[in-house]
This record gives sequence, structure tokens and C-alpha cells, in this order.
Amino acid sequence: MSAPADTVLDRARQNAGLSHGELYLRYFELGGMSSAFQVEAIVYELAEASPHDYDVLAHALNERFVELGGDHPVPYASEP
Amino acid sequence: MADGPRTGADAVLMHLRQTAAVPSGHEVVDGALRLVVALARATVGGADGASVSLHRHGRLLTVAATDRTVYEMDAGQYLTGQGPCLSASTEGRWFYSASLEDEVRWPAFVPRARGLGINAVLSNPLVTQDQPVGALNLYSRSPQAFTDADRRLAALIAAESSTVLSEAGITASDDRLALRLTHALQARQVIAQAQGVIMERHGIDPDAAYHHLLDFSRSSHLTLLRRAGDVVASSQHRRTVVGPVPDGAA
Repeated sequence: MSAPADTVLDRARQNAGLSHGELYLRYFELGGMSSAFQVEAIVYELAEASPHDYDVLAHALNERFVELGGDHPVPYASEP
Repeated sequence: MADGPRTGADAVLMHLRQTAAVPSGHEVVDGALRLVVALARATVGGADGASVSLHRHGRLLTVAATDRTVYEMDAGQYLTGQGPCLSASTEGRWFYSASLEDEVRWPAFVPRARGLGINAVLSNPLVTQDQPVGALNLYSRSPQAFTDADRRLAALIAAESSTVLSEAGITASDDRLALRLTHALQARQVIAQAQGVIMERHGIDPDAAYHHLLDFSRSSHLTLLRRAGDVVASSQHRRTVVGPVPDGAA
């Protein structure tokens, strides 16, 4: 099997130092309703997330970046 | 089904090894599962009781249950060798009976269940390494008690519990698992409560209410959970204090 594609979300996940399991747990904590398998597919752009679901995932990553002293580098599906 | 073909015994033994190969971790896992059933009952609409059954010592056991009726419901299934809990634990897929009055599967079990006042059952399998190891069972006194959203939430809790069980097989002595699960489920509950408060205050739908929280978190760098906690606290404050309370929404 070839290596997964380089995607925005997966780059962010790696920069945030999160495993797929860690990211899923954070997404789940924030009320995400997709399975771990679906989330991984979304991260690799193999599945399409609803705008709401995408934003929950983006926010899970961004809260991690804030913990690391950064800003909110991951764009949201819905900009305010 | 409990006395299934002998070829099934090997598979059951394999599950047993997987779930029982955690000598120092049982207490941790069982503690997490007690929390799972309490939160499943509290968060899944329609659920009057919940339990987790696991294959242990070569048979199905109730590891956690919210009350005595639930224990008796599980025991009735083990005794008769029939029921959604057994089916889910053995076949690894979910079983749902919206109304036991009309249920034709499990004829030996259904009269016992109705005798205990139960009228709807939802069992989701717990699966590790692609093998069913048990089930999360939800019982209701009311027929048609579980909505689509309830069933999705139950499936999600079962999936999350399966992950915990999988991880417990590898790092059994690590009680961080129970703490992480506790935190994750409590966080979800707070966020859901806050969504409810915002929906009521602003007359908006759940996704819009969620974005209310999310936008505040984005602009303030406070976590979404922290904001949700503040919203819930302010709504409790409102109930006891006369006069306007700052909403503080972004």
C-alpha cells in the first residue's frame, strides 16, 4: 500500500504532535460524531466531512496549537 | 446460541484470552465500564438502564450494570441462551428491538424481559481486533424509546468503549485509560448541555449552537469546553438569581 497523501489536516496533525488516536480522542471530546476510522479517512481526504464535522476536527487541532503557544493555523470550513 | 457449535468454542476462547490477558488491568477496565454504563444511561435518551457484558472465563458476564433489573435482564439472556445481548456479543453487530410486544426473535427470553417491565432493547457489540468481545446493552420500559440519534450515540459509546478495551489489552496497567474516557465523556456532556442552553436562548439549531461556542473559543483562545462550562454555569445561575445575567456571547 502506498503512503497516504500529504494533506492539510495530516500535516497539521503531525505538526501538533498528535497520533491519529490522540486526535480522535480530542475530536470525540469536542462532541464529534464520526468514528475513528471515518476521521482518519477525513484527515487523508479519502472521505468528505460535513462542514460541521470538519470544523470540530479543525478546532481539535487548533486547541492543540493553542496549548503549544500558537494560534489557530488550521482553516475552518465556515469562517465567521 | 450460547450452546452453539463446538467450532465456536475456539473463537470464544480466543476472545477470552484477548479480554482476560490483562490481569492487573481488570479493575481499571471494569471501573471505566461502570462509568460507561452510567453515562450511557444518562446521555442516551430513552435508556432506563444500561449494562456491559464481556466474554470472560469462557462465558458471558455482566461486568457493569446500572441497576438490579438490568442484571436480571442480562442473566435471563445468559440462562435462556437467547437475546439481543447474546446476539450482539456473538455476531459482532447491533441488535435492536423497538417493541418486545412484537418481537419474534428470542422467544424464550422475551416473556422474561416483559415480566421485568422492559419493552425496548438495544445491544451494540464491543469489538477488539475485529472480534466481538461483548456488548453494551440499553434497556427501556417504553416501546419505541430510542430515536435514530439515540442509536447513533449508543453506537458511538460502544465504539469508544471498544477502543478502550483494545488499548487495555496492550497497556492494561495504565489507569490513564479510565481517566481519559471519563474526561472525554464528561466533556461531551458539558458541551451538549451548553448547546441546549444556547439553542433555547437564541432559538437556533444544534449545529448553530455549537458554532456559537466554537466562534467564541476561536476569538478568545479559551477552550470550547471551558466556554461550554461557563454557559452551563450561567444558566444554573439564572435559575437562582432574579435579573439579567450577562450572556457574554461573542
